[in-house]
Amino acid sequence: MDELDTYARAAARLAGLEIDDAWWPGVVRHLTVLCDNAALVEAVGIPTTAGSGEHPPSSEAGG
Amino acid sequence: MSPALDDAVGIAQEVRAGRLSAVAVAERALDAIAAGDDAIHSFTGVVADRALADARRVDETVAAGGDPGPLAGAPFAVKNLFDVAGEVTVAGSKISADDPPASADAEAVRRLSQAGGVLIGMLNMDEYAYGFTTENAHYGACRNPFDLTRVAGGSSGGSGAAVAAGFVPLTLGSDTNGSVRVPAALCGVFGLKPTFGRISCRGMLPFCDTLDVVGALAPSVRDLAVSFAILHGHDPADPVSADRPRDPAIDLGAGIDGLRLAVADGYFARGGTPDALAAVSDLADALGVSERISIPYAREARAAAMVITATEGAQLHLESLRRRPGDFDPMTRDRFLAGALAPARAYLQAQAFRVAFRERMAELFDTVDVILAPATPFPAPVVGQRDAVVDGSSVLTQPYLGVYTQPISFAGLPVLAIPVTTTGGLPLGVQLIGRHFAESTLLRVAAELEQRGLAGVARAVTPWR
Repeated sequence: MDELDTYARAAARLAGLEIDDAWWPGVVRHLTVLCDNAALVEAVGIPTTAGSGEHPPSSEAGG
Repeated sequence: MSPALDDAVGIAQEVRAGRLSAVAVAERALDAIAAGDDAIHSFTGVVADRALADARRVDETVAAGGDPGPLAGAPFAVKNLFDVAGEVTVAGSKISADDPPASADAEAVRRLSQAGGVLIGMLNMDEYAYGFTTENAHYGACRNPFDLTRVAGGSSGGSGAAVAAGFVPLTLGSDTNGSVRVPAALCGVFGLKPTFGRISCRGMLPFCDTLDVVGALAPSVRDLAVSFAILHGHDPADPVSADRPRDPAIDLGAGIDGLRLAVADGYFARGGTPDALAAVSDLADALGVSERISIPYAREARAAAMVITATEGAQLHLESLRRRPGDFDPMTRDRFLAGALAPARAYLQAQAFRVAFRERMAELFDTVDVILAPATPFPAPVVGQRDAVVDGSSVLTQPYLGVYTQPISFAGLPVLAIPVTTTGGLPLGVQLIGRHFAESTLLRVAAELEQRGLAGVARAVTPWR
């Protein structure tokens, strides 16, 4: 979490975003889920056979 | 109104025959909204002057012996991310409420109006379409007409609630991860999410350009068929519009003989409440469908959809995130900010995965024509409900509502959500999933289910009806 927090703050500076201190826990929590989801996709690579069929971490959905 | 006037096609038939005044229909819709929508919050605005002027034109055309079109005098309303000429496209946000009014109708609005439809107003939604419950901090939570303590679903919650409440028989929504299918299911109405690129998105404020689709919600299959016939077709001004011929007229009475139906198993046969899963198996039993099919990589597809949605959505709103982060709905702000910080590799990998996943999904339809799957994992949650228990585990209610819809839209497939009523009395939905550009097949199956009484709208008890 510390590493992700450090990364997130650097990325925010790079993107020109000023993020209120009170929002950081929520932002990092959502970013953690995004990273977990990205890792799932990375792990499976380019699909050619049947997949795992489980449910991914879930806090980013919508729309 | 009589049962024949409960849907858009029924109204249009009466208006075209000169037996019903379009102005009277529009006035009735406006009166119903004024009397009943304070409790529901499905509308964020009405366009009464435009509605009555359009309705008057329809009546004049009929009186002169002309044909105003297949939706003659039928009232409709649109999610408030569609441009409506002279109105601000707020998209459920405080920030976009400061934008100037739209100079022209969105292409989908224009087509429905040109077909004789009468636009009544704009509908509530999750801010910038990022949500599944329409608990909007700026415009109020949209309530479910079946139980006002519950959500209507989202992000096109107003589009589902307005039809279920009987305010209008036809609404437009948008579906990126399930935003037509989830509210259709929770509000007990039919909802069609066409193939990606099938209906022009021109004039619709985007959420995620590579996933957004325009869809319709209605109380009958014939309403979906007629509106789809009007709406679909290539639009050179929309960069993602599919350049292919329009479908021929759909025969809703063709039945389902010869079609290969199967039930999605694995991922889609667990993770929902018994009611939600039984909705599918009961339908399959009634149709004599015993075939089961596994949709590969559903888990990873949903994960990749979340990455792409967050990243593209954040990019679209980056300037607002820089200048006015405090004006976002707290429900969406943190997720957009997280999306803005996600590494590019995550997005690129998710898009690469998507290309292969779409191919694997297309291959599935070599052996089947329509796949049945649950639309949502449970009926409408209570407003403000954070968690739900499924299979003995706690899940976050809001995002989990898309567990069965996200993998399908990720492949760009067409889906028709049909309403079924559970033993508990709350509506649920079943997804009919077809191969790319097979909307006609889905409409044909849905019509058969509706005709057999296996799917259909159970009207909410509303005092203004």
